[in-house]
Amino acid sequence: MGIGAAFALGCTSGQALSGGALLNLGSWAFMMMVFAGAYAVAAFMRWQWR
Amino acid sequence: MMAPFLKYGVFGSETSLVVAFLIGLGFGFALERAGFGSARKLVSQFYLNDMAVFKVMFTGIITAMLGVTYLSWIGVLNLSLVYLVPTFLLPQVIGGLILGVGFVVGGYCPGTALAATATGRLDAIVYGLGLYAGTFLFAELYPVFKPLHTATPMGQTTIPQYFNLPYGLVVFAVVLMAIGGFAGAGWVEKKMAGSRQPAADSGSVASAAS
Repeated sequence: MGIGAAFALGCTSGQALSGGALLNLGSWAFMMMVFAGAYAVAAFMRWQWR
Repeated sequence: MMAPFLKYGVFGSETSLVVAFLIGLGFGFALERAGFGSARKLVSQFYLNDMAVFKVMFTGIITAMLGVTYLSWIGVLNLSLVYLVPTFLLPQVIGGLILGVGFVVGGYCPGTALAATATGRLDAIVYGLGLYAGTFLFAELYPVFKPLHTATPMGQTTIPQYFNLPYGLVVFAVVLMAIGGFAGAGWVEKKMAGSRQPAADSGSVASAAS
């Protein structure tokens, strides 16, 4: 997560929330990718959250 | 025009730290009250059982976006002085994917992990240690990451600027998208609750069927 946030110049709060509200282009790309990445692997991690 | 306060010298950087502390207190309080100090609650978003993450996130974005928009329209806020993180499309797409995967594996995002650490959750403390280890690793190995980290620079740009659309139109579109999203999220939650209930609790089958 540290590496991911460093690459993206921010995390869910710093990029998605703040940048999202300012309609920052990179923030919206980032936010969509967070959800895309999470939904893509969710099925493989289901055992962990039972 | 009087805002951003720091840039117009309404207060200095010391005062801004106090303001940041107070906002941080409020943010942490809101996260905990939303139930976002629990990994299970957060991760439910990705199993479609509980869309609170989406709803809270978009409520936050819409509220802040409308606030910023109206304040700039009535001339209180100078939007051009509000700092925008420059866009680096490729590293942000890759970083976003890493964060999304990490969200499901670890159960938190960086901010919610801090909120959960404050309430003493062990998984969040371990997550936090990993977070710092990753950041440290990134800094130490920066020469390796630098080509990707600085790829596709697009400068400070917003969606209205990039696509050459009126600012108000994009704001309106985002609001419409959120309203549609909220309706969709409510529908998905109901559907998931209906499909889960009989298996989870045989006593509620009758009420679910009726």
